[in-house]
Amino acid sequence: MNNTKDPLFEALDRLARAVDNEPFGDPMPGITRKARANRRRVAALTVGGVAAVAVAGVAAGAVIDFPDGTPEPEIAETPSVSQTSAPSPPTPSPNEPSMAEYDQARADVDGDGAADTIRVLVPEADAGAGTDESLVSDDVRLQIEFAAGAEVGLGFGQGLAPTIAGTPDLDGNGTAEVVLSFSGGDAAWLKVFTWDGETVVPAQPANGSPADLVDDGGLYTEAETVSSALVDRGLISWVPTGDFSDPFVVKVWTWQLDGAQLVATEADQLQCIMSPGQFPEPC
Amino acid sequence: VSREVNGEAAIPRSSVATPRADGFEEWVRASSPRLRRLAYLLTGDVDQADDLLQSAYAKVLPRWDKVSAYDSPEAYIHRVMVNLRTSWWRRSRGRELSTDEVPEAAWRAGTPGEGDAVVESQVLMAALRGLPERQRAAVVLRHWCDLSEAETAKAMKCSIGTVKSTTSRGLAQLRAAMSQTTDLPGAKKSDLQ
Repeated sequence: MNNTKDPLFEALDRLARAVDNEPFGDPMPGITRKARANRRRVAALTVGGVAAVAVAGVAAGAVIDFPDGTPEPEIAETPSVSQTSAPSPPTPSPNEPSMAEYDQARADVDGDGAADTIRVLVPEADAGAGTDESLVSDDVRLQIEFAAGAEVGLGFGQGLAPTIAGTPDLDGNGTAEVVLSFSGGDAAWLKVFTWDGETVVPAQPANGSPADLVDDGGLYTEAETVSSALVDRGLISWVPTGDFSDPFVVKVWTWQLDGAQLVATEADQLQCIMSPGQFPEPC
Repeated sequence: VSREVNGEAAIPRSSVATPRADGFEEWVRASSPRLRRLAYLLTGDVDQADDLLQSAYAKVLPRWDKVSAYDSPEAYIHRVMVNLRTSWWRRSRGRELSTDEVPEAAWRAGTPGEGDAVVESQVLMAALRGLPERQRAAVVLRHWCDLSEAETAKAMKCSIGTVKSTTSRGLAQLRAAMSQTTDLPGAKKSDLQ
């Protein structure tokens, strides 16, 4: 810093150094404790947000319709043993841990008109963990069991176990995308998986996407900085504008799926969050 | 038919809060004295400053792998601190009573014998606390952290024009408050001009 000629700097610096006289212990225990609390809070917020999405999504008809009337959960159910007629997870080899279901939803992923079963799988020893807290597992997989009998597995390896945030049709082609929510620390990522005609592939934010909105190939959420959510009008992200008066003013982007690319379109007008926990809406 | 395809990169374990992120603790120990001062200027209260600082570090910890690779991890945590502080203010402003009472620490800002500096710090802290949050942040980031207008705009997530106007309004209020100290013996009229 080379600001010693600024009298205001000098006055502020004298004032700031007053805090040096106050005792300050080891900050690490407090930091670690707060980080853990953040992780629990984000996990709780994610679950709450998903529940809200479910109501909004159904109301707007954003879910895939099933001609046979098969009920299609918009949100992940709590971990449970599958009751569907879909095939069971493959039998593990002797060297492989036995995998079990961590989360499940049903939707028409391949567009054949029948509901497919979407499962998040983790080693059996981890599967009992509730989805209301972040779970880090040594082996995380997404498995989609098609009504016709085939299945696709996507391996994530070691990392956060996601919950299924929803199964909207983001590109309007009549097939459901799978939106997974990975939450950990004070941050969360929404990742989208789509049917490319032959298999299920991860959709990636397009080059040139606003940098604040994306991270690790997903749509990023960090409390107070940037948020992403699945709402009735689709997948959106928003950031504060810096105007922190009530209502909370945010800049909003809507994500469209183009092939396997997520393309962000900024809303024409700023929007408002009327109260904590709500989603952006016209001011 | 079972087909295995590679999923995208899993969220690494390091993205989850862990106290063993490489280099994080060392960075905390090296940066905390200065960041604690920033927190104190932003909050005007020692306890709130310590809480703000720990909360900001706790937000950085899960992303330390990425943040540590930035040119300036401090710039990132500046932004976190400003956003956190503003967020806290938004939540609490219905209950928090603004007061002109000067924190005890400010009384001790000068060393014995530096009476004018003590009074100056006392008045400056009262004036800072009287500023709206965004004005206080803009003034502190520009004039104590020595950030450029562009860097301040990035930290505050607003435009450069907003930084200019916010800083200008904040400085005007500080000058008005500090002008009281220029009547004191030994005070320099040129200060804060």
